[in-house]
Amino acid sequence: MNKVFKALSDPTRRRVLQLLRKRPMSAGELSDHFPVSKPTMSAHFAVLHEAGLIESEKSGRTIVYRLVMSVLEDALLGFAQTLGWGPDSERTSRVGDRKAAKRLAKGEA
Amino acid sequence: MVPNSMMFRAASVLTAVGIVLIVANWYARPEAALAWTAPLAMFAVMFAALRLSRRALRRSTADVTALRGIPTAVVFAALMMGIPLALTLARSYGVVDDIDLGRRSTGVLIGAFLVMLGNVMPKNLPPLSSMRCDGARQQAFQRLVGWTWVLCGLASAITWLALSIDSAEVATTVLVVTAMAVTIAQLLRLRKPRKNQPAPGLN
Repeated sequence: MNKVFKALSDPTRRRVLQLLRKRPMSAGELSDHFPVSKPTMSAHFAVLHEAGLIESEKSGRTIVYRLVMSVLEDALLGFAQTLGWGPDSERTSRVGDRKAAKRLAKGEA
Repeated sequence: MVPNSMMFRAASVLTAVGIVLIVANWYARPEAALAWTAPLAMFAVMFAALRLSRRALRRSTADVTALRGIPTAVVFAALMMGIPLALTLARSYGVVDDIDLGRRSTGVLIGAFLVMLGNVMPKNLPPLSSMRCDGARQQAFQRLVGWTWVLCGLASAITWLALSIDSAEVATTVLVVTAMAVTIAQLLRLRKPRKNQPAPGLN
């Protein structure tokens, strides 16, 4: 359970879990939402994987991550999000969203 | 390899305790001998299932995931039968007066079992590569069904603690039927192909 609390204490990891709630995503897709380097993201994925909150599967040359959270862990994520465990998550997610939006606009142009 | 050997040990101990309780009840009320043979047979089946699953896991040829749930199921079944047996024995010796205590505790235990069952449902996903529908829908289905059963189990346990026996029976039936209806409805939705269905597993 300690690993789960450690994984949920970081806002970036919580945001990863929230993104994975929608659908399974590749490591690249997930990284696009955050203003951090790929090795940092890999470290976050490793912590989540070790806590048993996400699962990875290789599909060709990409690694696809998906959520494997029990209902209790899901409820804990909700609490963590509401109570704001760890440092403030708003800035991280806002910058990530802006970066993703820029990439999308560039692709459309 | 024997995964979760603590659970195996707990299941074995509880099965043995259950058999002892049946023998004690038989001794206390020998006129109801026929009534004690049914739980005795069930405990014997549980004991055999435990032994067979342990042997299969030691050989490492069996499907470990499928067998891992057996000791947990035996623990819950042994508790569900053992608690009423212990209370019946206590009542026959005049230690406990409450007739409904056994039914209430069994109801609470069944609620707890539903919570446990629902809790792990979203974790048991098939591999993405072997999915027939897209991963997002399967994941959403298992998450919703897990939450449904956890809430049903919690409400059921609270019902058995707070309401009268008659009301608790009706309320639990309504709760379980509702949870089953939600599960079946979601399952039917999952079977229905979506327009522009993405590739299985990945989308």
